[in-house]
Amino acid sequence: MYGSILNYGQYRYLKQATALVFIALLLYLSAAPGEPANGGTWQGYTLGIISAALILFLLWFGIRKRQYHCTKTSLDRWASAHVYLGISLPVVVSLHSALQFGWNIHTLAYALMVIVVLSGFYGLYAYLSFPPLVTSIRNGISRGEMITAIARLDETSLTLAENLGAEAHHKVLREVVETRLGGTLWQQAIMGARLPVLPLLQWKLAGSFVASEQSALAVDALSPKDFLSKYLRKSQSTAEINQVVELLKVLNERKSIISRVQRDIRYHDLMKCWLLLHIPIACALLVAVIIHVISVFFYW
Amino acid sequence: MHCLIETVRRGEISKAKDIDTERLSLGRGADQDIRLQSRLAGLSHAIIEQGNDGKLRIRAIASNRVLHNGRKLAESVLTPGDEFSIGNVCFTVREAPETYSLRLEIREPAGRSGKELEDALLASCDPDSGRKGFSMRRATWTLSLAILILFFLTPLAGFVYKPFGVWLRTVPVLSDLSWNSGPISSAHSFFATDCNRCHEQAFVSVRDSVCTDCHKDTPHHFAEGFRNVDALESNHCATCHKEHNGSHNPALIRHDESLCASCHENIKTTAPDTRLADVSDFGDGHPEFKATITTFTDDKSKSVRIPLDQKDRLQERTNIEFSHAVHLKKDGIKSPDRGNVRLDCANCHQPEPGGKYMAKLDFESQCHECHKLNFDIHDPKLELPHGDDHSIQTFLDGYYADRALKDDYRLLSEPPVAQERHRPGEALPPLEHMEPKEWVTKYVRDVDSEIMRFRVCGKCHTVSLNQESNQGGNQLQFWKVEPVGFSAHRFPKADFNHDKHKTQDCTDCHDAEKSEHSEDVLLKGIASCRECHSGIGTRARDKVASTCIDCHGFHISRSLAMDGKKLNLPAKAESFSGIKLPSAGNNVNPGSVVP
Repeated sequence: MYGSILNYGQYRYLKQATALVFIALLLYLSAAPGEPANGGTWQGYTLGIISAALILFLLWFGIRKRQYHCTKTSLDRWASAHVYLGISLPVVVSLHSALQFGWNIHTLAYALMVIVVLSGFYGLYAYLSFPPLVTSIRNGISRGEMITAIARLDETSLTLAENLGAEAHHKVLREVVETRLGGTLWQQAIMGARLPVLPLLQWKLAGSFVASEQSALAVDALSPKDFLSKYLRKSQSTAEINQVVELLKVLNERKSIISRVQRDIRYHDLMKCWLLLHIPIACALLVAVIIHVISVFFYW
Repeated sequence: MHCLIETVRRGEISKAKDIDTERLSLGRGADQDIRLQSRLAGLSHAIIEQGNDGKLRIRAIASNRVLHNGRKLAESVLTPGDEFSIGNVCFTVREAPETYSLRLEIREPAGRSGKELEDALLASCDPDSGRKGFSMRRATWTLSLAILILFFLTPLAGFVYKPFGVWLRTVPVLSDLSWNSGPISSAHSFFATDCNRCHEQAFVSVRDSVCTDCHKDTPHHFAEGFRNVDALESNHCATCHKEHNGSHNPALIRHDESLCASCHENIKTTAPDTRLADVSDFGDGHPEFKATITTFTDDKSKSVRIPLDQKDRLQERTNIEFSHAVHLKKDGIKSPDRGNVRLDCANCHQPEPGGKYMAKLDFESQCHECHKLNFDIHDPKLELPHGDDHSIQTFLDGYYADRALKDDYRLLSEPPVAQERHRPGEALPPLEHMEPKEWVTKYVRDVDSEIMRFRVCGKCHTVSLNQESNQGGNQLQFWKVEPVGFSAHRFPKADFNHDKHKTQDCTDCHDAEKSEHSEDVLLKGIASCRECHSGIGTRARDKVASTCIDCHGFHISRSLAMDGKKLNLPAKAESFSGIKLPSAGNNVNPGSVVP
């Protein structure tokens, strides 16, 4: 689908948006020489009406895409028109404003429009770039299936760890409990540093596997480096080593699936995050445009 | 610590257990006081103990956490009614019976343990899990309402309640100044922050009365007779004078010719009675200039405007004989004191202060050095007064009477009585007095006739017989100088500035070098202007683009103001009277002597 947004109907809306920009330019250039170009000439008013109509049309896309029962025009067509007319909007609005800026509601509306369009550009980029990456990550498996697989591996690893003792269980449980697949945008941004690295085999300390508070605290306090040096110095029984190896295998597999799910969620969030800016500011833009129009005629 | 542990299944207590311990341990391990089935519980997850202060505390072991009243905590005080959970096992602290320190209700969920893990993983996918995240809906409402309140409701309140509005304008952004569509022009900047000075009512465009409050007596475009020209009456000040386009706003006074041409291109359509010609563009749509020609007779002047291309009519009777060609001869002109002097235009024509118009000419500064007013060969340095016929006659009377009294006839033909000898001191008999008197009168008449007609005055001036002097049976004939006058402004309806054209030679516009008569109007016409100037429409890139307003004003009525009141402005001076000329001062270059 994403390809068809740009080339829908053999670039029909690219052509229409280009024509619109051309007409707007002609209007702008036809302004009388006696007066500097501004929004108050008849050309300025015309460009303003076109801009307002464009904004309403672009906002309507947010409603149209939720009208699932509507089949008269395809959503592809709407999206294509939304993209191209959205790109033409800053040109028409700039001509309407004649780039006369100041500390006022009119310039605020312009600035909001610019933010909405720029975020829209990012959205277009995201919709064109990330879906192929998501497809390659999922490799035919749904996210739900991957999460079920992780839960199964969690259970296996916890069972294996329980057999290895309280400290091992505590360590694995911490991994399970602290695993974050998604999170806020900020968490997503720092996700790279939070991928599970398995400083796991810290439970194998000298002494008994007593489920004591002290031993758990000691496990928490140890760095992976310290643990490994202690662990390697201790000789283990073959069965125990096999169990550890099995646990490591399970945890590694878990890690790879978690990584895939996290990237999947991350790409989806990156495809959605721009809407956090795009939609609230588009609505604020509508309010600002209404105030802009009212204020111009209020002090006519 | 005596604890009562009750397990609840399907809303009923299925199991109750008494435990008496110092520290109640909770965990998945077999050695725990309360064994938890949750996969997410540690083998030894937390303990509950009673402190010295008698309060019950739950403390998670090491890095484990307990979800207590919705918050993940390492330690917290338990009071009856509190709920906490470990994994999917929920606990409620109940009011303990008298003999117990703690009564704990446990609810274990039914279902697979794998589901619990999966649910935890799914919860970790949701960015809003466990915390209040960013809500798009809330952001939308917040932002929209903030804009609505700050930029609409607040300024609106200021408009409705003026003192609040005045105060608001001291706060950046919040006031109705945020509705300002552009900077005010510098001419109006002194009240730029007082929106309501011009915008009196909401949704009503700025009224003309607001403008004319300050711009009192601004002349209308036309005289009262043309008042009902719809094209102008239906427009407002603000139709032409656009504000809010910057401090140096070119639109405040429109300079484009399209505004004027919209009517004047086909002026009869707008004003059928007008005598004006159609004008569309200076380059190719402007009629030949009409020069004002003034005729002076008996102190009265009459002006007509004649197109510069009608050369045969283009004569102004100035009553003076003057040849520019003679005075501008390349080899100079003979001066009484300095030999041959070469003159140019600036020797006589000097600009007024400000440079816009040329100063009036006067005899003393411009002519007198060469044109001496001496009249008697015996007194070559004695000169007649200039500018008044009567003074000349009085002067001559006095001069020759004095000569007669002093018997100073010299080579003049004396009266017979003067030729007789008398004893010194002997008075002439009364009848003999008459003879010198008549001689003086006759002689003065002869001299007057000569200087007026041929020599001193008549050399430059048009003279005629003074009819008034000959009335009453007086047969003496005296001559008078006809009044001299020039049109002060050839183009009173245009605004020409000599100073702005001082880089040009005078002869670029004035054909002076070939003119032999003062009647000639020395203007070359619109063609000479078009050598440098063009209109906007013609788009001649190598010329000065000149619009209507560069030469003509809009508010030009002398009888009607923009607000409809009658005006009584004095008409522009149309002519310079030669008789009442003030001195132009000594700012005139005497000319260079030809070697």
